Amino acid sequence: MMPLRLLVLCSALVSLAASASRTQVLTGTVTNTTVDQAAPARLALTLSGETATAQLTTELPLTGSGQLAGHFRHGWLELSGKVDGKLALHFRGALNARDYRGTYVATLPDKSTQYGKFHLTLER
Amino acid sequence: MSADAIPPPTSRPRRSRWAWIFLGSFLLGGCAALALLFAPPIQAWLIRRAAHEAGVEVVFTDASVMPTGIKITGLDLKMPGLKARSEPIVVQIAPGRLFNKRELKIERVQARKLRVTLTPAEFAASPSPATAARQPFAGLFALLQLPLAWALDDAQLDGEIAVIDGGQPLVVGTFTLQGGGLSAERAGEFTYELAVNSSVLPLGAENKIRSRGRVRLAQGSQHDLAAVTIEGDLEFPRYGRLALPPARFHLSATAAPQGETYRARLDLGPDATFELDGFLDKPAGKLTARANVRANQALVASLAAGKLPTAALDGRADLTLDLARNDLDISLSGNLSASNFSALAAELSDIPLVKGTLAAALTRRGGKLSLTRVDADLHAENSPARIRIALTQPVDPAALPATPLATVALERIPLAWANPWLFPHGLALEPAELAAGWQLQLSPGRDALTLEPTRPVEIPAVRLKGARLPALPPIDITFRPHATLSTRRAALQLENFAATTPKGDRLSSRITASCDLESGRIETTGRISGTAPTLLAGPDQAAPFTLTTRWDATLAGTTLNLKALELVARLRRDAPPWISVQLLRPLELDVAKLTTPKTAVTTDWARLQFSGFPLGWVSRWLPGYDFAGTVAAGESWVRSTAEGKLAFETTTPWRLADATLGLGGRTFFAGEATIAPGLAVHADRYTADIQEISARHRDGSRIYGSITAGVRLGERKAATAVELFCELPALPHSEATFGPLYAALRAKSHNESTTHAVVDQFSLRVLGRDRELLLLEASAPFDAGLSTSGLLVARTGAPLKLTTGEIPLAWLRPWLPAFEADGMLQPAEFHLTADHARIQLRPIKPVHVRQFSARFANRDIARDMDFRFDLGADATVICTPTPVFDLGYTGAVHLTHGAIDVAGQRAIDLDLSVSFLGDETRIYPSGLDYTTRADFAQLSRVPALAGTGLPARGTFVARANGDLLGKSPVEFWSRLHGIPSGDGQRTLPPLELSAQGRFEPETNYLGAAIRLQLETQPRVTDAFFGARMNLGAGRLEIASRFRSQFFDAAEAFAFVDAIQKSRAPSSPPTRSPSPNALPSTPSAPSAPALEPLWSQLRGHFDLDLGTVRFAPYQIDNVRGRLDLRDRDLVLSNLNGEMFSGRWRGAARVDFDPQNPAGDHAIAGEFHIEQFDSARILQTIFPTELASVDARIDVHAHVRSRGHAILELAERAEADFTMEGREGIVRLRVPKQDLAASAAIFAGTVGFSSELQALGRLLRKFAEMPVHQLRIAGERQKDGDVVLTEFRLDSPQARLLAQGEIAHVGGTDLLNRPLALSVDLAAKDEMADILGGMSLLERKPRADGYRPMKEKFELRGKAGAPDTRPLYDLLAKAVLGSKGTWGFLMRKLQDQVNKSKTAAAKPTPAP
Repeated sequence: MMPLRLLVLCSALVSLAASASRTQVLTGTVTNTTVDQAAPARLALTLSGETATAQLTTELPLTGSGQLAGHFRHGWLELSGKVDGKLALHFRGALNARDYRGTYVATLPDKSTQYGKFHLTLER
Repeated sequence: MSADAIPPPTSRPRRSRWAWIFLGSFLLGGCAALALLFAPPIQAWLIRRAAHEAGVEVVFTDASVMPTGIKITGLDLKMPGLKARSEPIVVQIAPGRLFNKRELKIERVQARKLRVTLTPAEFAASPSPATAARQPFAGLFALLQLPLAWALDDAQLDGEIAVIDGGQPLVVGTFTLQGGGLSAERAGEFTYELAVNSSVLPLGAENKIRSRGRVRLAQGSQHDLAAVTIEGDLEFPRYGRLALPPARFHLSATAAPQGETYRARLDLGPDATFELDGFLDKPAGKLTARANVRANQALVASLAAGKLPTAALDGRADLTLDLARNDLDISLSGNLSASNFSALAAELSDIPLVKGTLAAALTRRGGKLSLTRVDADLHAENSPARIRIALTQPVDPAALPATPLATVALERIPLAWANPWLFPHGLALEPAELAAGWQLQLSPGRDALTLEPTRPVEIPAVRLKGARLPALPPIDITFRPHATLSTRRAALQLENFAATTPKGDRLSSRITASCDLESGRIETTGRISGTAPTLLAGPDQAAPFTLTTRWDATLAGTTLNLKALELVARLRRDAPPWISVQLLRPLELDVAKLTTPKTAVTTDWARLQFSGFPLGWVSRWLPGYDFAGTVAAGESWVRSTAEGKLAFETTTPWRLADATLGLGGRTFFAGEATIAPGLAVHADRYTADIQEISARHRDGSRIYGSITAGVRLGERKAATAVELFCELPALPHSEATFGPLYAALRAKSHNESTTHAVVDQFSLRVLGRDRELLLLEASAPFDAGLSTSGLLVARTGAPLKLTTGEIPLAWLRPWLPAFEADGMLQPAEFHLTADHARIQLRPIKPVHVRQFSARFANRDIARDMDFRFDLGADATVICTPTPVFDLGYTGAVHLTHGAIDVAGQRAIDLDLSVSFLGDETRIYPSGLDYTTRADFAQLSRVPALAGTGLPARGTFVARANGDLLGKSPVEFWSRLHGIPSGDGQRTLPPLELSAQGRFEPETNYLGAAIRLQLETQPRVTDAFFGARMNLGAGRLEIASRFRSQFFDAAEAFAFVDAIQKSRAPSSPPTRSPSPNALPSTPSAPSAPALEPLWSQLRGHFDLDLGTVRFAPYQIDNVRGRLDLRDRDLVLSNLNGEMFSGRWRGAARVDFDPQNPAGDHAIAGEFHIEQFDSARILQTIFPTELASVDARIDVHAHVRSRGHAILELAERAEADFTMEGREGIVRLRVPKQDLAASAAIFAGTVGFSSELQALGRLLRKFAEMPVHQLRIAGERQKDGDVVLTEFRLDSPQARLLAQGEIAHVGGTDLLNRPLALSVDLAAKDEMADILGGMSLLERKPRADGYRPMKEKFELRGKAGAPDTRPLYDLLAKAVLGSKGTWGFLMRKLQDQVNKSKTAAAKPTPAP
């Protein structure tokens, strides 16, 4: 009986977790204003309460794809993480029912900071 | 050999024998003759003879018989001016006709590669028979006459043609000629094609003149030609910008009875025509001709579209030639009109239409040519300007005399025509005219043309104006210009030059200049002297100048010989010089190397001295600058060493005394200064330095140091060292912030190439009164210079380090007028890197601002906070320093990770990126990306922010993105979440505002479509409207529809109230039972406002609202207009639907900040027509049947005065009337849930007669028809409603009442307590019932109703009155004076219960 109870308990927890979090996909453009280059990007964003995780995919000519994490409070979404091995990204912006828009900072070791902006729209 | 040698024809023999013999002999002889005739030598002889007859010399080397004729090789044909050579040429002549009929019949001429050479010079020089015998010209056809008849059957010629001039081929081309059929009886026709190269264009297939056409020849009766006609086409190649249209021409010469007529016509398309008609009058011996030329504007335009003036001309030439005496008369006349001279040069745009005439006459008498008349006149239309050229005397063009030939006169030429050249420099001449005159004369040697003035050039009262020029007096200018021009030399001499003003200025000069055109040697001498009391210094300054300048110089190659040079300026002629430049001895200078011939010793060549030279007058010539003071002393020398090396040395530093330098009305320097400029020329380098730089301001500030530059000419290398130190006063707006400044600039650099320098050391340090403000230093050399494309670029191997000290942000205020910042910027460090044209600034550590405060558009957005952020910048700078300085840049400033913490908790997050672009004069913000989050709960913990309008809790997230130049939209979005209500008792729903629009940088407006969304329950409040935001004034200007599907006015007011409460001094919270109700008690009086409730909103809305809800009431389909002005808000034409009635109204709010009783005053009126009273009552009391069911009209007038919006609502006074007709009034029976009530209603049979009467009465009250209902009253300032009239007319009852509805804060009107004193009267059945109950007076009133003996009072709620007092009265009537309705009901209930019990008992079985 114990395994069955555990199975039921786990199922209930997963259901609860699934119902508490939501994943949204945003696509759009990131623009590195330091080098004046833009590229398509995709962000799979999961919000669970105030916790946010995201999978960023950036297409050429820019680089930077990987997992980001941060927090979301009443429209303010902040994500950061180290992608492509050593590229530190920090996104901050406002997320509403339509899009996520703001600025970011990209830092590589021994390189000067690069600045950028992004505009990602929620896919319906 | 001559034609006479040809045997005459023989006669036929008479006798047969002899005839046969003769015939045989003749045949034989004929055959022999024929054979002989066809023999090459004979044919060749015949050709030579025929040619000789025509005056042509023919030589050939060989002739051979061919089946088709004779083939001649090596043919040379010569005439005066014409040579032809062919190899081979086939000519077939009919010899029989030559001998038999003396007719030269050329059956065929075929020539290939015929080379024809024309030498025009030989035509004139040829000893033609006519000139040899001094015979007059007998006509063209006489020249082409043959002594015998002739015919040409077929000619096929092709070859080359050349025109030789001066031994050189002028024209070379090819031709073909085909045709024939020419005989004495018949005209011959030939076709030709000709293609010759243009003499003015290089050889090439495209550069040929081509002609194609027909030639028609007709013989006359004397073996001559009687008519020649040539007609064909002409095509010209393009001559640079000139493109002549295809031409058609016609030439004819026709024999006439008295001579010959000649006609020629050339048509250059439809736009130009040349015509010539001539006639040779043989008997009179005269040749006359008239030529007409016409070209219209289209021709000139077509020649080079847009590049030439619009011009048209027509001309005529008449020629008469006396052939006997060779006298000639030619007269020429022509007209020209030209305009649009700007096509030649844009600066000629002011020259109007110019018309010109030309008249000339040329004669020849006794072989001597004489040009007897030339008159040319050009005059401008609508202008007195005129240019005349006239021949002074008849002259022989071939032998011009050394006496005056012609006069040139310029009359009243407007100087304004020169303004287009001056405009680009900001200058213009006021209207003035120029007059001048010259004689043209050849020099005695006939090798130069001289222009001798016949009158001086006079320019009276010319005044030069310019935005950057002072007001100058009119200047009279006169001078006599002499000019000499030859093939070797050009010389100009200005004599008697005088420029005078009415103020006494007078400058005179004499200047000569000449240029040897072969060697380039230039010589010039001159002197300028005079006084300029006002011209330089202006009429207001007593600083007259007396100037003396003279020079004598020669420049040959790079060698400048200065024999004399002197410049002296002084106050008066007898005063010592203020400034003098004097050449001490003749100087020979290599201007390329700046060397002099070697001397044994150091030689002083020239001296520059200052002694009290005033500077104030310079201000007059440099608008915006203010100079004052003098160059009190200074002496410099131009010297050379023994080796001839030149140097400029200052032996006495230039000292500026009492000097003032101002810019834009602000004095930057006032004090004493010295500099000692120097320049030394070495073998391969210069050393330029400015030593002893020292300037001391009156306030004690000074700059001092030195600049030294060493230049190696051979290597094209230079090294520069700069050391400048400044002790400065405070910068503008900075005195209180930084106090005096000290700056030190140290730099050393050298160049690697002419465009590439290396800055070896660089340090710029700026210190304030008590701290270092800025230090920019390079830890390693960096490159700077020009790129291959001329851009100024730099490359830093290692970044420059920029360190800033503690800087108060208040210092920025003058530059950021809309944004007031306070706080202390803590020391910060940055790296500055450059890579080509890109520059990056990166923070080494976060920037920290302590006690940061900010106000934008007069609103506090931060106060006394610690603000940290990273500050970086990217920029691309495009700068071309030469030939024209040009600067442009784009970039962005990034403020990232901006954070404000309060007590360790994050209060504000902020990121900002502003892109920009600009040039040397302006910088434009071009883009914005801004995101921020504010936590009001944390911010409210900052004491300084209390009362600034920030809510006590909640968050605000906002972002703005877009283009600030208006090319693409700007988007703004914000969300307010968790904001407490004004009373602090609940949380208001989230509010989202989004806007999208375009920025209009020219007007500083942002036009946007704005959407508001308030997440009210159960339905979201929305609003959508267009507005333009005046960013300068921080004001929203509207002129649009205000649309909403649902608008919860109560929540909207609650939001406004919450914000206003936040701004006002805190007041104790009050309890509000309903989320949508107004506060329960009047708030503490609000403080007077500096701005109206509608704050920064201006304009008007056309209202279009689906539903406006002010719970529990709601108005549907609201339309109207809202005007928002500085001092009033007007709602007009309001209409809608409310409880099935038509709602309409109007209101205005006036703002008077000076009124202490309340800065806002409301006046309004509202009307509801035919609203359904049952609906409103059931909305509020959904479980109860409406006490009044009627269609009612409501009219209300409202007025109020207060500071805040809810205060206005609370203090509102109103008077109102309500009128209804033909409805139902239901008086609710107390305890109607009791069975007793039902029993009474049912009129239970067992009841007493009183109870049964009561039952009938209750049924009347339960559904009482109403003819008229009228309620009038007023709402008082304290909120109480006084009902001055409550009147109800029904068929059997009439109620007249007065009372009040007491104010209960936070409770809607219909739920407030009612106190109504009612006077009831009845008639008919109801009177009978009530009368039967002894409740009525016996005597009816005048209206027929019997009043009740006593009044009763209704209480309860306004929307649900408590009718118990009435029913108590009724019960009293039933039970006696001790009864109440409750007692009656209990009694009846007991009775009913008993009857029910009895009924429930089992009935015994029968």
